[in-house]
Amino acid sequence: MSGIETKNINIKSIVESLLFVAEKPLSLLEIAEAIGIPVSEIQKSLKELEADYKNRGISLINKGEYFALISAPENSKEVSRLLNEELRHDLSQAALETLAIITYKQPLTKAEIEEIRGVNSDQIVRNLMVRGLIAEIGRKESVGKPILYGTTMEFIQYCGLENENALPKMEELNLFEKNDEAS
Amino acid sequence: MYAVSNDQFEGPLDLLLQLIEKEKLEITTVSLSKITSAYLEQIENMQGTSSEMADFLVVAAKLLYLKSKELLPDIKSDEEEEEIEDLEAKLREYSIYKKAAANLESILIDGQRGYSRRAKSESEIIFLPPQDINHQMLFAIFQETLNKLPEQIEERVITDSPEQKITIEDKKKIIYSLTKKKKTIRFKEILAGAKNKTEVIVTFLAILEMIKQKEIGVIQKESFADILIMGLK
Repeated sequence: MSGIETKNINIKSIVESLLFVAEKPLSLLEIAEAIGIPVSEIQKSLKELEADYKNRGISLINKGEYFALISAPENSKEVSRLLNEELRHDLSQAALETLAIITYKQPLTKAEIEEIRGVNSDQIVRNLMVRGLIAEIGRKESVGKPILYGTTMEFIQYCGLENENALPKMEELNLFEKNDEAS
Repeated sequence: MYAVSNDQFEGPLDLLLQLIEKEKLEITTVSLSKITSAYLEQIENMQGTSSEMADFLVVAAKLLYLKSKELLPDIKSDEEEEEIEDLEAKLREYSIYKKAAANLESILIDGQRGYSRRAKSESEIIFLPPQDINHQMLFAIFQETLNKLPEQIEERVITDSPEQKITIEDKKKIIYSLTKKKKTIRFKEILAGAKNKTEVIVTFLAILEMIKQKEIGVIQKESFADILIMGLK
């Protein structure tokens, strides 16, 4: 066994341990600092871990630079029963619409959300924040420095996704529309 | 009748989109013009806050412009023209997000969800006694604690008990009746029967209020000297 190979196996194993004990999602930087190696060397291990977890009860998910271990989404029925949690989603059409806009346009301000929806969205944005599905992720560098909103790791978990790349692209959504009309 | 917050539609764009889809039309200026009367019909019976209604009316105005242009093709305003194009573009954009929302909903209906490990909450309270603790020490600490307590507790009970409460109104009545009996009374005299600090404060506040309402007049020769109170009514 060559030295490099051994090192690689170790890194993957260490990354897994770190993610396992962490009580919150870990950033690439946090993982890199804990191991004492550059960020670039961790990414490969994360990819391998992600592949390892296919067909397992644990999934590796990420939101941007942040990674977390969660229960496999396909087991949500049993897990929610154990945790005594409601699985049925209860988001209104308005909430879904707002969430979709934020998912695809993030980061964006409330004014920008309202521009697309054509109606006031104070209440809905507040509700989504309380639910933890969106969060304030910064300030826009414009007059008044308005708050920028984005989706959260909880949103990714809530949808049972690996990350936001798993969602169809905007262009693909457009295609859905054309297919619908053709059929 | 439609309420704006009704699940039927979420805003003017949603209403437009639903009307266009109902007629199986594409999102074009022509389609917008075709659904104008249906749109107006819908918002006529709508109940919403004025700011919600304003959003609907802005769109209605744009649709009416389209309609009037059909009747009088010569009339053209560049500004309005731009707004119509803007409306069309916005509607297109909105329709894509509607698709995205529908897609999101189908994902959520699937009910697949990931759960993170339950973090052991930091608020969990654990009692960690020192290793060399024994029952005598615990007894001594308990005794000490008890010795510190009683006075404070008693005081609390007295000030909080309802029958001890004296309102400013009560005090005003008492002071008023006193000024009827005697021409001048001394502040100290009134305070003599006070049971606690609160009553002193209430008495003082009552006097201030009576001065303001010109029911009494007061004289104080120098700072901290006794205050003489006279009835004016």
